[in-house]
Amino acid sequence: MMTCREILDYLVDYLDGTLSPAQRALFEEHLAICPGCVDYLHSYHHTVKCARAAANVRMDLPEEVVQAVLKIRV
Amino acid sequence: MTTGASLLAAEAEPILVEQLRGGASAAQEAFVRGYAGPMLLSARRLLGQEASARAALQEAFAVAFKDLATLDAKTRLGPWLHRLIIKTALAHLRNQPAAVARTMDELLPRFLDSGCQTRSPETRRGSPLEKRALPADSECIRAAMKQLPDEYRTVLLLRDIEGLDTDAAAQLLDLKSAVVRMRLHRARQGLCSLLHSGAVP
Repeated sequence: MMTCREILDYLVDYLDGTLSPAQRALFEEHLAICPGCVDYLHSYHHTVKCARAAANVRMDLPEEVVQAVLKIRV
Repeated sequence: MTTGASLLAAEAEPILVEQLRGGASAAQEAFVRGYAGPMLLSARRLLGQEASARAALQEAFAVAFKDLATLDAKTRLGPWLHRLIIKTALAHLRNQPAAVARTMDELLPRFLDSGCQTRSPETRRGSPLEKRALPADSECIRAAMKQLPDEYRTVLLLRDIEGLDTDAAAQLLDLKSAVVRMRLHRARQGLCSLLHSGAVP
């Protein structure tokens, strides 16, 4: 049976789908009995989604920036 | 256009490069207008300061114009410029004063001797973060990211924000891929802790 510490160590591999079948079974066996780790997995996954969403902000290219770059062309 | 994508089809880029090497003004303007936007966005994400981002953009283009003379004909412009702006921005980042007061030890989960996690009431479903509207979350998340130690925040930005794979991020940072994976995981854990503990308004 995996411990909570091991669950966090394997978390990235679990989310990436790169755990071996045996490791995945142990991982999910722990999740079945540990609501704390289930909550943490959810929070972690949500954090990654939020971070990616926060990066998609409006993209503006001010004209003065374009002109400044054009001035330095070789 | 997304960061790292190429403006033109593969067969059209060599023509643009030749025009740029010849100094054609129209080609230079098209080049800048086509690629500067996504590059500036990448610089903003990494540096968090408009002035630094614009400075990095100018430096990156200065290098680009110079290196066009010897650019391999098979190199796609979008990914090449994306890597260039990232390297330039990272160089700026290393020169910025440290903006974080947190250590990773403070932010990582703690465990009992049995290997069980000590319970954190903040990391639960329905936490304040999940109930907020997304626009407010964006500011909250960026403020939280700034509290991560730079070496962890950089990996988080490159992997989860800029979309580089582990090997590409490792090459840019001159780190082993295993180190990048470890820092990414810890950065995510740290960010999770900051966001869910209400440490960020």
